[in-house]
Amino acid sequence: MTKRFGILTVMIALLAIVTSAVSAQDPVVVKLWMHNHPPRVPLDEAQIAKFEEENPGIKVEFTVVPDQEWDTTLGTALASGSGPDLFNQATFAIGQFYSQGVLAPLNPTAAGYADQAAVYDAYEAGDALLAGATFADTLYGLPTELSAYACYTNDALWEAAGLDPATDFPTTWEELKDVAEKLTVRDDAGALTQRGFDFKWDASIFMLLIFNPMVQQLGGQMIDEVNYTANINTPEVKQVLGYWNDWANTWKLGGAQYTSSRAAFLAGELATDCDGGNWFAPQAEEAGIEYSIHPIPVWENATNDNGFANYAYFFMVNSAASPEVQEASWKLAGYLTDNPAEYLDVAGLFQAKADFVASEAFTSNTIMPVFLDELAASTYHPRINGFFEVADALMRMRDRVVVGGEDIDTVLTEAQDEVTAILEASKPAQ
Amino acid sequence: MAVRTVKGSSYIARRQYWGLAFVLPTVIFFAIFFLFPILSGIYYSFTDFTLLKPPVFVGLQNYQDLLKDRLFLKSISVTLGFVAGTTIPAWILSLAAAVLFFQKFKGREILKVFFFAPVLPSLIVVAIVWKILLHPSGVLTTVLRPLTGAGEINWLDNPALSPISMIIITNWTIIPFYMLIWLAGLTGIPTDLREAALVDGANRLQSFLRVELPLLRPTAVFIAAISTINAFQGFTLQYAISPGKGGPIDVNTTMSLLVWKYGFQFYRMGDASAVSMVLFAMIMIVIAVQLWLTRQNQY
Amino acid sequence: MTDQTYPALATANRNTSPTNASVKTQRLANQIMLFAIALVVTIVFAFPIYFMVSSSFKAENEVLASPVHIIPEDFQGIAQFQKAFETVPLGRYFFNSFLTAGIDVVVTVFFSALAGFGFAKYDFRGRRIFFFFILTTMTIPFQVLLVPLFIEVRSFGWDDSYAGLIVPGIMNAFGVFMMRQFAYGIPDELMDAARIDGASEFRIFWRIVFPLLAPASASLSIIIFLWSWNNFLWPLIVIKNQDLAPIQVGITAFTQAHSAEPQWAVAMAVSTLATLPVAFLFIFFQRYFIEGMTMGGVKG
Repeated sequence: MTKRFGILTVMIALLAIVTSAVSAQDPVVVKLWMHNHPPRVPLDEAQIAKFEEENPGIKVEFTVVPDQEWDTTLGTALASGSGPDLFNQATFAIGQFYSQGVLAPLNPTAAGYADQAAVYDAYEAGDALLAGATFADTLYGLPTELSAYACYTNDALWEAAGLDPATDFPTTWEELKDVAEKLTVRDDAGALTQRGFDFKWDASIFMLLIFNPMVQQLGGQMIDEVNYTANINTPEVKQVLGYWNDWANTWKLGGAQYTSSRAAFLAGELATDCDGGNWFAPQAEEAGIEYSIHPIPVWENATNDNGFANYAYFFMVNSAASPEVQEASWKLAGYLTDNPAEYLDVAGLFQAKADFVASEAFTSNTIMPVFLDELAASTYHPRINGFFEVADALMRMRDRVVVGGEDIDTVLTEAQDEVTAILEASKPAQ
Repeated sequence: MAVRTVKGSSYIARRQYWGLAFVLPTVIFFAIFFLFPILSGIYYSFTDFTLLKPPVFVGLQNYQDLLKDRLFLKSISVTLGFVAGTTIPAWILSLAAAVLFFQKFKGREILKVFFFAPVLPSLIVVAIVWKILLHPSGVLTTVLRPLTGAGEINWLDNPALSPISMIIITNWTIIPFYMLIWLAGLTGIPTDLREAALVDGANRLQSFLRVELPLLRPTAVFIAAISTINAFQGFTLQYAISPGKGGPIDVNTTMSLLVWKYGFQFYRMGDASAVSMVLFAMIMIVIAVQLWLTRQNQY
Repeated sequence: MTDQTYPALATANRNTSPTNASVKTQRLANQIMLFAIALVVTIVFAFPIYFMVSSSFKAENEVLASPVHIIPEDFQGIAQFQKAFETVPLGRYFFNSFLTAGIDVVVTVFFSALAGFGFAKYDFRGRRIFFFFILTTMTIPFQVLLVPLFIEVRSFGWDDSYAGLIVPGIMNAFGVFMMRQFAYGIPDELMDAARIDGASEFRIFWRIVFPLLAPASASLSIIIFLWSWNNFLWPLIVIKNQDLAPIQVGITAFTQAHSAEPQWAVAMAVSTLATLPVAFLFIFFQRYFIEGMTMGGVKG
């Protein structure tokens, strides 16, 4: 009896040892999704290969997703329970994702930091820049690219108009109008063939990235992201909307009907483009444009000198993933955000790590300091549930005045009600 | 020689079940792959579903909200306008094109291939090409300048012109497409029937109206129904090139585009499903009326 | 089959005007007129396609140039095409598209003809309901079906596989509807005659009905190939592994790059290449649209 019992015990012990050894060898699989940014893809693949070598217990499934379909693809995957574990998401959607409980908070030690505070310290102007992924004093992401807009000038076009971009670049919106007029060219039939400057009209998101910051310069704030309230029917908004309207209809210097600003700049028919981040520079070079960078103008009667809104892409982790996968995901995220120099050089992406910013490589770069200044002077766009719905409503408001010719006061009043209703419906339950 | 056929009622009844057998493979396929999604879609329309969390049942709330939803109501009129503009003209013009390309003349085959070209690229590419051509000072404006004298025409940004542009582009893509189906129908008409009418003294137009058109009836019904269904679902073009995806001021927000907007941009899949159920009901009513009015009498 | 344009007209003319010369002039005038009309119509319709093709030979900044460049000024030769092949595995994408479209065409056309025939020529219980159900699948916007269909396909274990890519599209309600309409036009006498000769119902379908549906099958083949070839949303959602991606998803590498403006010239090059297979298919099937391919043995 004892003998059989002894053999049984040994067998069970062996079994336990074998299974634990086997399960210890089962690799943790991290599903990583990123946007399709061709210059960075080979870089990422190389980094991931190295990461897997150094971490044999972790395997990475890397998927690249077309940009415009990111929301559809990610939404479908998450709805079906097959979403990624680690994904590179924009701050536009972070309000939505956070309030729905999709995001797991950062695991600082897994990512290679002593604690959460160390993460903020590791980044230049960390508090301001990482604010994009901070909710209730907790950090929910590691930045893969930070973006601030600055103004690009097509120096050849400027010089052809007898202007010097270095000295003649306007510091106020009011001056911009005069400068743009000198850079505008029409053909015999009266059609615009070259614009001096134009806003980005074609997507609703720019109402919160460009329009709202212009209101902020005047001391206004269209959306309160903490209380989910709207402030639209104000003199500040009226001034900004009036300017956009004049730009298209009174001064006829541009408008939604023309080629979108970035494409027009690259094609050489727009002399000034103020909605490009540092990632736009390589594209301008490839298009053969000689450019220089300038800060965003402000109003003559401005109370703040912020630029356009900051936005960023952060590595975020799916809260539905198991704890081991989450830990491995943060480890991978930390690893992939540890090479700022290479990512800037090859892919034009800005990861404002403090030691990188202080390095020679950064300070010798002619354009990055301007972007860093803009980044530091501006704030993130509102990070709310219902971000796109609000943007859509604001674009409708703009078009009713600019394209539909409606009375601005009526439109502002109705927009106030519309956006307030959206915010109330989107407000997360406390 | 006398022919004996067994014509008991049971024989005919048994024969009819062959029809069922022929139909069953497709029915089963659709039952497997579409029944669950359709029923899910119906279920979602009674829920709050953000895609990021499981659906939450809310009863008729979504439908009640739709009644007061200005954007939804606008999308209905946008859709109806788009349907009117892309069904009747396309039906007539594609028939005319088919008749033209059915005549025999030298160079017909080459021209037919090029005429069919608009159908070939994906709709996204078509949209991009047209966006370039419809630039305010682009090709179309230049060609029309002698008539209009205008330096710029805002084809895509003017709230009145924009939907018309969408209709024109859509007609451009579908006329060759329906022509193909008309051609198949015309090919099936026995030549001798047509010739008989001509010998009887009818001119070509009379022969066409009296002989060919009635024989084309199933094709005609089909194209009317299909063009209606497709028109009600108009989405890709508006998604790809209308300013701000459905603009300006929502004049291009068809119901189908609204479904996408609510579902994948605003994360309100419950509302999206409700809109699609209304759309589905509208289509089915129109089609049912169409098919009933033109119901087949077996001959 | 002789090329008789207007047999009756020719007969009539021969009866009333004695000279062959005036018949020939009449025919020539008609030919020229038809050709002229067709030419104008074709140019108007084909111009945007010409623009797409010519753009694939332009430099990138020429595509959006305003005023529009009808002829490439900075002719690139095959540079944009080369760039396309270098940037993405275009050959693989073409293979995937061919595989999907080929399977879709064969399966859809056959089963649509079968089902269409069944709906048109037979009367059985449930016929209306089944047809209504099939029609329904065409009328609900795909965006709504997308999520539950994906959930279902995933539950079969088919996500990110050829099965998941191809099978959900392997039959088509449009095809069933179209074939039903064309099947209505087949005279019952033909089928009855075959039954008298002792043929089984399936044999009637395969030997008599399916050949008579040839023009419709040809049209449907082109249509299904086109739709399968141009299908974008479903492959995008169900495929993650780029080895399985079809052409349309491949194009997005140029039109939807992250933080970058689209590269239209390259996209146009890929699109041009992508339209060639369907164009060839259309040319190949032209012989089914020649007048005279009709039901034999029917007395007027």
